[in-house]
Amino acid sequence: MLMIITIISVIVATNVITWLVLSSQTNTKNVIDDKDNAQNLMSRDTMIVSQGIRLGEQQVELDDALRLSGLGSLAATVAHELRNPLGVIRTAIYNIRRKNKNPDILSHLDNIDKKIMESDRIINNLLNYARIKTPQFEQVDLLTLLKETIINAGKKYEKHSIQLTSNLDTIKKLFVEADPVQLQEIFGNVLDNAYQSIDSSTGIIIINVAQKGAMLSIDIQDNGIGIEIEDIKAIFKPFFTKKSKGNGLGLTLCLELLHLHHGKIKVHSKPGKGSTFTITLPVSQNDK
Amino acid sequence: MTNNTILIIDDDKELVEEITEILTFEGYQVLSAHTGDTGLVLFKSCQPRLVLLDMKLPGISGIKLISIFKSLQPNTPIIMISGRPVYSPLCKQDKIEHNLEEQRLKMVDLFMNKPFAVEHLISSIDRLFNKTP
Repeated sequence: MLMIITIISVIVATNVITWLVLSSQTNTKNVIDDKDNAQNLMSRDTMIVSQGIRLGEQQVELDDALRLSGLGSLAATVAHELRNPLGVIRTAIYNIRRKNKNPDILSHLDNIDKKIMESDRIINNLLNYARIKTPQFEQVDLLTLLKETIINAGKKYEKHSIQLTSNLDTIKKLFVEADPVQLQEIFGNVLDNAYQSIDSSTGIIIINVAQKGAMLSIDIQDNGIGIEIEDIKAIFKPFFTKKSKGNGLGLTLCLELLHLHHGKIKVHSKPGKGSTFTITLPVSQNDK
Repeated sequence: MTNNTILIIDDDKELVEEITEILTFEGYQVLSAHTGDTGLVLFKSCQPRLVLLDMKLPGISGIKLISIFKSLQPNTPIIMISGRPVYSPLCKQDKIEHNLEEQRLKMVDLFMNKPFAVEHLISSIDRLFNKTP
């Protein structure tokens, strides 16, 4: 009983669990002479440790939920606080325009109006980012989900003459334990970036899916403008963007969602040649 | 003489100043309060034809004032102006409180998110004025 209490009190930091396993085994070897008793104690220790690990996992899930709700509250507060002064500026501009007799001032007022609306859009994007919830895991047909995402992106960029190829038809079935809405968000964002990076008429996007043991990897490769070496580290940071209409939250969102799925995202890029984003995901959340 | 008084309750003094000027120019008589409590006193004493109400206020909150105003004068339109995101999952962290807020917000005649277009505010006030005697 004493041991259980000790373990529960320590598992808040999940990385301490390994230490607990080692110390309990050492004690068993040194103190217990009777083999049966030793075995009983070992199996009890294993049970306690497995309970400890489960509690550790629950703690991680709880930490994620708390962090996300904290992020949501922060974003809501920031949005509220920023929308108030923006409201005053917009109303004041209306009054200046009404009283203004000088036509030279009008273009400046138009510019202020545009920037107010731009700021409002940034606030909305921040709110969308903050609405990330802990994933609702289910068995997802990855091939169908990817095909749907590709079709949606194709419709969005139908004016672009970009050729998209994939190896999806060569794979029979591929299921993954994930939140389908969040997965679509991840693939949609990376695919958006691929389309937006291509400005030539000979654009190519290649999607490759492969299973390596308990992990899945999805490569999304483009022959777009690529990413400068000094920008590579910054692309996952909030609000970093080089696009005129980008909000700099797409890849941050992907990184956050993949963290919740115990997956990863990596990028290889050559300026002027294109980029490859590699997303890796565990097939099952038990294999993470 | 017809009542054309609008009561603005918002703790942002600059916003109240700007809106007061616009609505006065549009021909309305404007009263203003920067706290919920003063707003309630003015509502009772002056019986405005319409109320522009902020959600977050010092003293009695804008949300509470909705139900108080509607119980005192059910036909007086209320336009809620706020920077706070409404009807988003963010507001559902405390379910009981959220449900209560949602019920009160449904009593509002119009909800406008800051920064709103002034033209939209003016046309909405005109429309709500024409509805009430």
